[in-house]
Amino acid sequence: MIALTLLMTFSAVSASAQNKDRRKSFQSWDNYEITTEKVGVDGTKFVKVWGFGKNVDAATMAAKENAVHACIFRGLPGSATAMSTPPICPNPDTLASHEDYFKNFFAPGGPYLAYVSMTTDGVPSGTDRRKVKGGYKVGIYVQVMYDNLKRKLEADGIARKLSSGF
Amino acid sequence: MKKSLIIAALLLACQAIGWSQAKKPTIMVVPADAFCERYGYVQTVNAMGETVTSPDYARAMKENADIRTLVAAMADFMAKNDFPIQSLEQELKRLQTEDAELAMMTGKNSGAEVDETPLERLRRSAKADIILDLDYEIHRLGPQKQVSFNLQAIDAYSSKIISGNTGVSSVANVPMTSLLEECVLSFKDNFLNGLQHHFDDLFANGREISVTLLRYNNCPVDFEEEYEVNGDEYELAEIIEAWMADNTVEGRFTTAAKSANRMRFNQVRIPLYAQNMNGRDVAIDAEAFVKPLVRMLKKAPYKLTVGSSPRGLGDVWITIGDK
Amino acid sequence: MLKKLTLSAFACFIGLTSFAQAKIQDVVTSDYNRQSISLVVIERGDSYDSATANAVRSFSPSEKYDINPISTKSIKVNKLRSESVSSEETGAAVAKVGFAREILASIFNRTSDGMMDDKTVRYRGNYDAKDQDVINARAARVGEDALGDLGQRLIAGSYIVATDFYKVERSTDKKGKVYWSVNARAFAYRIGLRENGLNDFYEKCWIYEDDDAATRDAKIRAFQALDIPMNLVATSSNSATSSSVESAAYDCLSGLITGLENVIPEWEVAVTIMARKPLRAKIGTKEGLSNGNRYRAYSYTEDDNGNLKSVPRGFLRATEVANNSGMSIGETEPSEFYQVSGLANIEEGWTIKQSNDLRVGVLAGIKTGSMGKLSFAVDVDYLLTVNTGGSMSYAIFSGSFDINQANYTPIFFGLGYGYALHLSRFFELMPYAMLALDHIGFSTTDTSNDRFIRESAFVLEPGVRVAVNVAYPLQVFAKAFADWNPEFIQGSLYKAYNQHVGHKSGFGLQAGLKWTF
Repeated sequence: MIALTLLMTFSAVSASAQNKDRRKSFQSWDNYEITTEKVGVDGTKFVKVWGFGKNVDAATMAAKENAVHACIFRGLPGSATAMSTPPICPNPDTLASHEDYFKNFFAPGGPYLAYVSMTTDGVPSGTDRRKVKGGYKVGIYVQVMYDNLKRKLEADGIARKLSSGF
Repeated sequence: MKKSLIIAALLLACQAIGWSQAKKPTIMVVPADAFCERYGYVQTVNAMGETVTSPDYARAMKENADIRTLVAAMADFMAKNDFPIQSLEQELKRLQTEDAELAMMTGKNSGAEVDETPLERLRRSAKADIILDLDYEIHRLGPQKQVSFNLQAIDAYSSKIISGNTGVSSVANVPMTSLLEECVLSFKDNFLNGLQHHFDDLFANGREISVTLLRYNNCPVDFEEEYEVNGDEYELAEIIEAWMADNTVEGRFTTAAKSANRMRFNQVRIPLYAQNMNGRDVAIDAEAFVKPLVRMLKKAPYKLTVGSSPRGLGDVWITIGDK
Repeated sequence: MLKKLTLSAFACFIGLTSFAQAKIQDVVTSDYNRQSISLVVIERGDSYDSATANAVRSFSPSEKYDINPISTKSIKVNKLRSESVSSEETGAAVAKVGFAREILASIFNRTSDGMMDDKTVRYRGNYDAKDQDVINARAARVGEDALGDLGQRLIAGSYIVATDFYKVERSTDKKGKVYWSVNARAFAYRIGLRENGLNDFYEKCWIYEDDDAATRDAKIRAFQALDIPMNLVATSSNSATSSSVESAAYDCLSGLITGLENVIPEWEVAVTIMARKPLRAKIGTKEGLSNGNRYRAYSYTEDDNGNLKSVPRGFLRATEVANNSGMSIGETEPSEFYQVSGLANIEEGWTIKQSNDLRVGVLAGIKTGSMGKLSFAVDVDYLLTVNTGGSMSYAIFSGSFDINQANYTPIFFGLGYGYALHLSRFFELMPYAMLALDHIGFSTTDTSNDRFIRESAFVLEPGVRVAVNVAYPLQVFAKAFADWNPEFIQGSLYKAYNQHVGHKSGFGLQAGLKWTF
């Protein structure tokens, strides 16, 4: 019984700690590099994005999250032959006002994964796999299903449709 | 008239919950003048005794497969965003038939009096709210090709550029359609973003047009004629200005010129829609916007002969003294 | 044959060490693209010109290089063949030809009327494309059609390799057989295309179908006036001996190319490890990979300031080589490797870069046993094959000198074969068998032909060698063996001398250090 209580307390504590972690990272979630590789096939953005994590797998997941985050909040920089892409939610308050929605959206294994697919051949490798203080920094090629992501956020009432109001 | 304003405000308030009522702006892609000239798609028109060249859209659309590719690619993504693009080709065909019918009916030589340029006429006739002015150039780099493009979205009412997109495609030896479609996909989201900004502005501040009032010499009154309103004497010009202030969105307009014979209003922000005589909401253009003013001037105490003639969608001339 | 090969390779290796310093040590890149070369012979205006030219013409370099078939096959330097040409002299001769123009003409299949196409460029682009390129192309709107355009970047990797042969010497052995020894030097020149050089070229020289006659003429003239330099990037040297000048010259060539490969970073294949157990990487026959080729692994670190650094890790050798000489469709078959050194296990995603070696180990140490109480011994082994499980086969040469009986100059030497097993990469266990000659050369007056045989005895030596990595390529080794030296295979003089020397069948031990070159 005591063990159970302890366990419950512990799990509650760790869950809240995780939550706290999450929130912290939500607010300072801006520290990553992303570049547009080329104009992607219709409806997609083809980017190279970097992520940081304790190990290569965690860093790869972080990079995928970053790619989706960039499409929603930051926009994608242009390159020599691809124009820049505006964020789906240009309003800086969107994240704060829909924090619960995005917490769920970006939860581990969350819905965001449906909108990103890695096109790196195998694992991040060569200069795209860097040991840094406290873990790894990896660069991966990804396709973000930008149009689908936009539709989804429009349908969920987070982003405004172009035709809304008409 | 105030009623329509209130409705507009109501609509504004309701757009957040997605009550679609307003007419969607129509969009049409038109090859840029520079493009037409570069490829020789021009025709000479005799306008008031002067020979001027103007773009020959019909030929451009018929002879240039690339521009059709671009228009198709753009139509595709606009349709996905619930904004079908108006077909320039179809519009041109319609105009042609109309002209022919008109010529038969009146026996008038249609080339003799060209008051509007073909584009203006097209804009008015097609009633496209937004014109996409498309220009592109193909560069050859040895065996490779590169497309540079320039797309400007122009508000047909104010002729202001809503969003400008310039860029280049990849350099590659691939089918031309790939490079052209790459261009379209490249500017797509930026372009849509520009449109969104424009629509936000429309909803907040209304459409932008200009209004010009002219007095014919045979008119018994000029704009400095005074009338009594609520016990005080006011110049006709002041009365018209007051009407503008009442009927524009948040009273936004600029009086660009004011004299006894002529008045010109710029940056006139009009609501997107108003009620017609049957109380239905209809989208309005410059001409529809000034109709109530025209009706007012026809009635007592003014009793003027008033006519209005549109110059495209966003410019209207009101004449007093004659139609 | 083996000896000759080893010696010439050795010479080439020594020639290289001075260049190794010049190599960029900063950050090892994981990029590798195919390079194209054209071999050109330096003529001296003497009777050896045709033999050396034939040798160069009949030589085809490794499959990893594309060949630009240019029209000029030789350049002339008027200098006696007794010494090598200098790089200044070669430079002047190369500058006279306009090689850059010839390279571009060959790459773009230029016809006599000045028309060019990009068929070769597109073919090479497709051929060079890695799986990642193919996958990236699929993700992009322009698609896989644009893969051929990757060939554009390969044009800047075009080289001329000018080969010079000098100090051609004739020698005759006792039986009257004639040998020719030839020294060779290679000068690699890279096309000096600047950043926008190709665009300039297209603008000035590319003739389009719709160009009028005047424009065509102007473009043809512009092509003839093209002034793109060829820049010396590296040299290498080698030497060989054979029965004719032509075959000796021919034998030098692959060593010359290997020599250049070791000093031109762009020529070294680099790829990343895609999987472990066994180690696999997507290179193969297309990159000229063959069993036993040595690669070095690198991982990357980034410091707090974002500076990238490559960290050299262990070495590995190719085992199963995949045939990948087709166009990539995104699923290239990988080759397998075996890690031979390094504290850390090589991980997925690490870069491996070609690190040529001679596959020759030199083992020095002392030996004791029934064939001499204390001998100084030098063994040389040559790595023949490696397989994924870590077993390796070696050709072994062993030689030793019995110090205790120095007066009788007892020399022991033999050739054998060993099959090494790796329990781990640090520890090698190799059973081997060797046929050796024990020679006791006391007499100085006897000049008969069979004297050597009469002074020798055959020895059969089975044994086991153990080698442990200290700091690759340095290893410590120990050998335990049995020598079988029965009387019936002893020469008559040997028998007589051996009464004083006392070599007999029995067991022995040998220990020392091994260095792999």
